[in-house]
Amino acid sequence: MRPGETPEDRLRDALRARAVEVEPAPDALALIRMRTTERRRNGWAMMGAAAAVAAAIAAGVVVFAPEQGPQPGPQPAATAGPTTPSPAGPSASAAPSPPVSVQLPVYFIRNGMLYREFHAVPLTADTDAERIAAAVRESLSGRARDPDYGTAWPPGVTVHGVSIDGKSVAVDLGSVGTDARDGARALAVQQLVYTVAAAGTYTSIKKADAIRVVVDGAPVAKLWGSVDAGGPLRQAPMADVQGPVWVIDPQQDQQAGRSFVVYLAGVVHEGTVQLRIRGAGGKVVFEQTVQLTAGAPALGEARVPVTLPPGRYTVESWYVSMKDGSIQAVDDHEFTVG
Amino acid sequence: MVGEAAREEPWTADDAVTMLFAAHYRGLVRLGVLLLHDEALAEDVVQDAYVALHRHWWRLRDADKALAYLRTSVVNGARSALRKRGVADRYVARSSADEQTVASAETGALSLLRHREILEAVRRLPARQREAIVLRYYAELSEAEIADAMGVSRGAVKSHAARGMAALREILEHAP
Repeated sequence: MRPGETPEDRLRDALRARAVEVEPAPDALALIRMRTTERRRNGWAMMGAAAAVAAAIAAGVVVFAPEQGPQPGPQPAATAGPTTPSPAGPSASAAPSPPVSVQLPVYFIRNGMLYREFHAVPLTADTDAERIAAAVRESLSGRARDPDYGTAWPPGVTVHGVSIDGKSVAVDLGSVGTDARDGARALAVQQLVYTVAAAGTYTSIKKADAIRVVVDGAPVAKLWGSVDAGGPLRQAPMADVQGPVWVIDPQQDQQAGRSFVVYLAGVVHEGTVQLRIRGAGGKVVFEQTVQLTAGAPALGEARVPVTLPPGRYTVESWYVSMKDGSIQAVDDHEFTVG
Repeated sequence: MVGEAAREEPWTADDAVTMLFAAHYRGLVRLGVLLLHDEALAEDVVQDAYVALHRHWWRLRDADKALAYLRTSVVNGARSALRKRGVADRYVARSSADEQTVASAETGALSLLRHREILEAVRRLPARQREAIVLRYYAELSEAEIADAMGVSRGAVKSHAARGMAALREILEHAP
């Protein structure tokens, strides 16, 4: 012990030092939400008109994994009170009975950077491999909810399946064509790698150690003749490939309650981003400078509670360049309140 | 009303999970890690606690009670996870915990090396003593709150904490 220190102080010091080392996984809120949503779908009705708010609050998750967007089915009607929850709630790793659709993170491209949406993807069988394959299929197809998002993979690319060995994941692709869209080969690979890594957190794998690509069942040394694919694919640092500012919630076309939470994340200088919401005719109804929890190179996030009357809105977020004051990296989504 | 940052309606179960997640998730995972010495397991336990909170929200409906509920769930969850892990792989668990400490040190937390022996000793305490120690000296809870979280009497909290502290005292006094 140091002079003047009591054994109790010394103990506090040690426990605190261990505790601050712990940084929770980024997808935690999404994982919790996925489980509570499944529960609701299994018959657990929300109280009151809150169901709409619930969808809105689909507040995302933390860091890279926000949240699911709109509920896949119609919202349960308002009920007078709580019903009995189904006794056996699914656990994170337990497979609900097939066929089923599951909310999974899916990466898309906008302006050469990665952005993520949560999609309800149908599964023929709810297995780890099928979850990852379905998320990759959704990603490569480019069927994003936000019309600004797309894919770097060529049209017609297919996903034969996924095989898992321990924590190593191999994605079997077909019809990869002769090049990525617009020649964005490295970005295409990151789109796939990020989707596999994120979807993997929704399986018993949790954290994939190695992600590989094979084509028509056979290993390939290079993808499109230039990207090394002979070994595990390298996941590029988030700051290099992810869009610097994300509007995680509300998602595109989400239905939000009157009181909802705008959830932003980004890797930006000093963690300062701008948030604006426009209503009918582009009229600005909400504007605020938002301080994220951290500045670049760390990923920061912020949740901003907002109350708005029913209507159609666009939420926009961006940062202002330190160099020339220009607006950079706008991410925006249209959504509905009420 | 437009653009007003406020909410008048009571929290729904989903609101509660979102708000309580933002406020307490990290702290609860840290608590779980101190009880379990396993980060992945601690996260599972805490996520289970939030799912259970969502299910029981209609009964709780109160943010203060909710935190106590979460804390109790985490303490119980950690205890049963430890029990499940069982004697068989206690040795495996030990070596992986050691690796974690070393890895952390490599990533810059050299200070953990100074605490290593103490943390090891805390890990070797019987579960109840460790709970009492961690809830008192890390979470800084009152005796009543600890009793609530552990589901035991205040007298029992006192005796678990005292025995735990007695077991640690020598290491604490000689620690760097």
